Amino acid sequence: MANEGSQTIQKEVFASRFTFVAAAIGMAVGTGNIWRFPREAGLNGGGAFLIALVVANLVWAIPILMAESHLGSRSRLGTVGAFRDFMGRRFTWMGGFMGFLTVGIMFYYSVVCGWSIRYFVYAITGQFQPGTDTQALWDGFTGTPWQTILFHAIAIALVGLIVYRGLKRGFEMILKYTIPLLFFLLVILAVRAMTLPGASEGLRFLFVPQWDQLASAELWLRAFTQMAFSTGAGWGLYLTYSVYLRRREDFALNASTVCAANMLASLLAAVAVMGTIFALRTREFAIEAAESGNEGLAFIFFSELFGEMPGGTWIFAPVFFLVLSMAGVSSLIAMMELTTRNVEDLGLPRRRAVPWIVLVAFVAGIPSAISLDFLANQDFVWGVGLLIAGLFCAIAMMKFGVERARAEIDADSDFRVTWWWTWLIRIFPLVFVLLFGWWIQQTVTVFAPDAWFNPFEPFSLMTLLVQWFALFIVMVLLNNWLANRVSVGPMTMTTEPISAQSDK
Amino acid sequence: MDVVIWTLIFLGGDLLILIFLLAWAVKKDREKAARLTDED
Repeated sequence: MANEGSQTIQKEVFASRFTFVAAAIGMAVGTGNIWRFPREAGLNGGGAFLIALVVANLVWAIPILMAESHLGSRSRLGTVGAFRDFMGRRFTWMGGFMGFLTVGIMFYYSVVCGWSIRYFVYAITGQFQPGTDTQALWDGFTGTPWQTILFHAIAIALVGLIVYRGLKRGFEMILKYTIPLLFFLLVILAVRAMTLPGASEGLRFLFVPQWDQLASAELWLRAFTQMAFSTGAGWGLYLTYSVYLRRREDFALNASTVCAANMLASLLAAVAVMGTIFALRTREFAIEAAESGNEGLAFIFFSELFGEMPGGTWIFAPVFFLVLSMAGVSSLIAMMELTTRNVEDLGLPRRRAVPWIVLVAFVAGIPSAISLDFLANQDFVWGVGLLIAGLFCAIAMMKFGVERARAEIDADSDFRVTWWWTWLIRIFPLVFVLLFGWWIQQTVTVFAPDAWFNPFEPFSLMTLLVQWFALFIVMVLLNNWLANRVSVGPMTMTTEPISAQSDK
Repeated sequence: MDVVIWTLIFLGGDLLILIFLLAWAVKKDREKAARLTDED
């Protein structure tokens, strides 16, 4: 029996294509662009990695973002409703699985945003003086739970406030100003780095291709992984924003613009980070920094250099951590909006849904705020799981009819899709098997070779399988309830009670 | 010299592609708006 939420609700729409694209860029550009991309690019062949990344954009990110946009804009429902209406009621769980993967990320990503905000506060209070022990600063902060919990609370409350206000008065208004500002600040940081003597070695590290690396399968797999994580393709976030598109329009052009902007943000951040490190330190230090992990690079190694850079303490440190915070918060907004959209579809109004989501996200994020191991485990489990969600998008298009979807996309686009999109969607399962198989192989041979069967080992195969399987079981058990409860969209058959509908 | 060339290819190339895509989007939106105005 459908509830009162099972009505087609008139939703707000983005005022223009610019505001939609700005919001989608904000969704894609996150902390990973700033602290993961420079490490991956530099350590994996520089320009060779970038060539693979361009291919990954074309083969993985753009086709899946287009599929997400079609799912969202045609169904006008969040991930759960979109999968119900595209795949049929029996497969509603797939939308729940996709949605919860991103919710799982939201729980710990809020903690990461809290770190960035904390470091912005450190920066504006002049903490990054010459000789500052940044390792001790990091250890002191992360070893003080009340601080990590407090800044996690600040991050999730700030984002909750923005999402509570809805599209027009909330995230559209905020993102149309903050995303251009984010790029402006990234340009400032990149120009500052490039004008430091010796920065050209950092550019060599990033951009000059090591051609022999192109033959390495690992380089391609790393590039595809980076692209899948960085663009947010398959997360359901772009699907959620597409619900608010004015009309179904130019999916290929919008997705290409988002991917190009996402890559530009990554390149600017990489120039800023690696240019500065190579200018002020040796190549060995740079490689050690790159190998130190995301937090190590940003909060320990890079932070150490602000005190030695002209204007570093009072100008460039605050700008860098402001950029990191803005990138994180803009992605967290998309995650919370995805959650809110689904809860609204289930019948709870936004003004009641958001406070509950904030409360649950705050409580569920506390273990990650207290334990870095727990956070790393969650990042691993739900991050790799997103590859599965990407596959779900491709399957949804196949079930709906790839040619039919292409015809509908082309009908509303100036940028014609033609055969390439249908072809890429059809071969997507093969690309998925290669990438997913590589990750599974890594868990057994590299991450936890002696403990891959231990579910309590943060990077083991078993921790992946147990948590995914638990989510799968819960979503399958909830399938019928979700299918009945989610509100009606333009695609939902309404000639008979929703609970009596058969699979399309 | 190779650093300058490869930086221009990747950073400059991506920037040019983004500008082209944005300019195309603006052009098409204006055309659509003009068409709608004519129809009204």
